[in-house]
Amino acid sequence: MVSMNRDRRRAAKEAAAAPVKAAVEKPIGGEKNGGKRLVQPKAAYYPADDVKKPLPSRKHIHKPTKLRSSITPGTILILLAGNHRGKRVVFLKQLDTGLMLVTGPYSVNGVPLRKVDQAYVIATSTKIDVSGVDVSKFDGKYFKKDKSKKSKKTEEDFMAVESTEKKSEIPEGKVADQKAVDTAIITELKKEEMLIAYLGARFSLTKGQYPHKMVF
Amino acid sequence: MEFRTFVEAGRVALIDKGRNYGKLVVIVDILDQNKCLVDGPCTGVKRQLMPYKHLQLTTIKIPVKRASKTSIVKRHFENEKVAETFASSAWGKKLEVRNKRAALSDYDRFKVMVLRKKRSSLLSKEFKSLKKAEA
Repeated sequence: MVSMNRDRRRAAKEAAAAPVKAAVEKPIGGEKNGGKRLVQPKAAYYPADDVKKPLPSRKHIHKPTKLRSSITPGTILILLAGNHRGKRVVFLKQLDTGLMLVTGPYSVNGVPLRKVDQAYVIATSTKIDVSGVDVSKFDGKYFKKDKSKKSKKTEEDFMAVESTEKKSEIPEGKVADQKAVDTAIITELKKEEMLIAYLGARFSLTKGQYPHKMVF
Repeated sequence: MEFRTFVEAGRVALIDKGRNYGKLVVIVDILDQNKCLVDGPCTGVKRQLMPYKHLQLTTIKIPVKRASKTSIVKRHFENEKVAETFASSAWGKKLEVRNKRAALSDYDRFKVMVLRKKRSSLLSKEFKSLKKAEA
């Protein structure tokens, strides 16, 4: 049974890989036929057996993540997990990977441009206008780490009392990107009196507050 | 202390349980020691039997007789301005504040918190200065 399937798969592969002959231009008789026409040459032979094509796999169809309707660019979110949990951030856009691009802004509450899954946030009804923020350069690749830098530690490094390894620095380009985004957002935030203070404060629950019964 | 509000025809009550929560009704008739007939033509409550346990009596009473028709209850409810009277009472105001607070967004709650802090700091400052002046 296994070999049969394998044969089928191979046959289908070969059929798909077989070169398709290019169309040939041929002269056509008759006045109103335009003189010539592109004609697909007929194959010299075709396989006598019907080859079953394997059904297309449904495993790897990528459907873009659908964000909650309450999350649109400019929405203030409350982060629920990770190092920045409890902080309020601004949602900028959905990345091609389906994750959300958010920022504190960094100068307000220390949250840099960051990817977040929508499962780990509460969306609030507060929104700001972020149409003036240029986020076209950010995508899933922007956040990939540079792997080439890593060097193996030598024995001396291990034995050294003080680590000779320097703390990895944030590349200048990213710092500049953060600044550009921050300034654009902060001009928007300054239009309302308490927004900057609001984003700088952490969210917490007090006595008698039940998140499932609260309006955000 | 003697009782001042009684279960009687014309007594206005607030529903504090069930799907008609928070609506005003008028007691029209008394069935037994557990239930009464209420009607709330102006608040969207159909004429129905309701246990006293679901009702909170108010001090408001309108002049309807026992087993009055819905139309009569409605007329008196409007003439006596029951809804307005209740809303201007301390109880009504408390309910309004509670509803307002519950509808606040996260940002609104933050603003309230900041303003409360401001107020209390001003108050305590003033209080301290007055205390000093007195001493």
